[in-house]
Amino acid sequence: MYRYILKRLLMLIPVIIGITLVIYFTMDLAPGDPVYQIVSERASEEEIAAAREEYHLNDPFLVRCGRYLLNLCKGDLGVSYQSKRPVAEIYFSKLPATLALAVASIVIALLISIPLGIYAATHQNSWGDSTSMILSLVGVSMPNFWLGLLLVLAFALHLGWLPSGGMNGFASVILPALTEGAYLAGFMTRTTRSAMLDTIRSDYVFMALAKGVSKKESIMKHAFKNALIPIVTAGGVQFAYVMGGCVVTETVFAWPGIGRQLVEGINQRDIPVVLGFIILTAIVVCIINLMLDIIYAFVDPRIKAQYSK
Amino acid sequence: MENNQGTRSRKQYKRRSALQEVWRRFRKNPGAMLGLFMVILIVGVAIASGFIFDYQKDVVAQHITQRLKPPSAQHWFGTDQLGRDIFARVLYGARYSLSIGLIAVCVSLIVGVTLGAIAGYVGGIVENIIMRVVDIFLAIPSILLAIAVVSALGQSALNLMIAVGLCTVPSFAQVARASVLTVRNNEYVEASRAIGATNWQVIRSHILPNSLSPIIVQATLRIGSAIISASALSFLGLGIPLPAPEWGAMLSEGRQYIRDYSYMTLFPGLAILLTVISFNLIGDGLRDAIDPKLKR
Repeated sequence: MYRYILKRLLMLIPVIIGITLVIYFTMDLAPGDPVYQIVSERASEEEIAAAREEYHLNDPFLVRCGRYLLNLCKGDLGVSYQSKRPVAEIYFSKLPATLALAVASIVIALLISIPLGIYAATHQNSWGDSTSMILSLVGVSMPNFWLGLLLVLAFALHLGWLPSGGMNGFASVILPALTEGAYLAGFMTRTTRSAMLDTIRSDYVFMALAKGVSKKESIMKHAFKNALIPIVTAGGVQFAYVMGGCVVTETVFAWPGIGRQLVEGINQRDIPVVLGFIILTAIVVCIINLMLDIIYAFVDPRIKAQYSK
Repeated sequence: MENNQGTRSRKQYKRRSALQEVWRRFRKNPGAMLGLFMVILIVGVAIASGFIFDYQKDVVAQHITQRLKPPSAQHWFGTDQLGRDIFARVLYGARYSLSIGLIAVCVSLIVGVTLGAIAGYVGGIVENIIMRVVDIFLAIPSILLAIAVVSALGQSALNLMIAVGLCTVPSFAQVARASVLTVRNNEYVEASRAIGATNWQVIRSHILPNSLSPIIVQATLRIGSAIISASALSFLGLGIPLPAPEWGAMLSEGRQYIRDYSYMTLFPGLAILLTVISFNLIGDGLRDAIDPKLKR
């Protein structure tokens, strides 16, 4: 088992190097001279030359990229052109807000999708099933930036029940989490229904029913427990979507997380911030996916047995 | 009498091609047919809007005296902050959203399927290299990758297509590789190799046609998400430059007036939702029609 964890950790290294190369190369394609993001356009030749030297802009691509990778290993992602603060420091100051939003949206999605998916599966081909499938279709098809605007209009501007933006206490997280969680809720409802349909037709559930177990107990204790693995796996895979989706949601709700800072970085052409934020978010997603994989390996005896050999 | 029965049974068991069978099952799915009808309608609207409206006069020209008018008989969806007719802009916007969604998915389909087919067919080190690169792209949240591409290349319809398409390539490569792997060891592929067909001939004539089903389903479902991604980038100010009537950009403009003129955000959002739902309905219907075992 520990060999499996070590193997997965080692496999993360080439992925992180690959992510850095891809994003660094992409950002290097940006037209224009980046030196003018550091000094003003009226700067003297000496000032420009000094800035180029300081930020190593004269070096060839591979040298700059190699240096960036080495610095990344030391936790140094350069300095923001605008605020002159270290990028890693800015990122980690914003990460808790984004993680809070991501967790809240996953919780909301699970609270909606699991009961709805179980209901749909246990009442297959009924009106309730059709309604839940229509709702999940709307959930996966809804552009989250539009849903966010509609929620702000209804609950913040018209009813005045919830704040329209910012991060001030529990109430402020509800609308962004609903916005972010809508797609996930739709997707998870479908997954839960599908997984439950597989398990409620299995022999062990029929056996439990034949032995006199109540229908409710057979669903919750036998069918749902076994359907959880595909549900949690699908939810884990969607974590990347939630972390990416925060860019749009945070912009709509002025949520002070990494997504909003990234959009500001793009608008200010602050390349170190854009580069560092995208790379670090991809690394965070990889690490969380790895942690989920390890948890499954511990939780699911089948996976555990497979890797214990 | 016997003859009649024979004719009837022949009619009853009329042979259908695989395509006819898929179409028969697809037709029986009301949701899928609704999706198909809506897509045909949206495509029709996108084509017709070019003939109905004058782009310069009706879609982008500013009419300050007509600004922020609510929906009426004259302006069905009202007017925006520059007096432009929202109905004309929403209809014309279908051209942008549909073309970006379709072209991005087509390009990524070609690139992704080629890479996936090579990986699945050739195997070994080639497969390892291709799939590890695919893993790297999959590890980056797709909207962040698209943001990186657009912010590097600049704002334009072409760059938006490249950005959105690039994000979809890995998933096509994965699906194509998986379906090629299931097909490549079949007897007819071995027979084709045995009679001297080249690798390219085997891939083109046997492997690709027999592994197309999941790829087609994936492509249909991806059009909807490509439209949402493109609109999201425009909403963030990274899509097609203004004053083009892209739906995401229209939502972004309407956002500032949401308190008093909510119709400015209502109609473009509804247009995105309906378009995406239509493609998703077709995708779901195709999946059920191609492989009824997956139907739930």
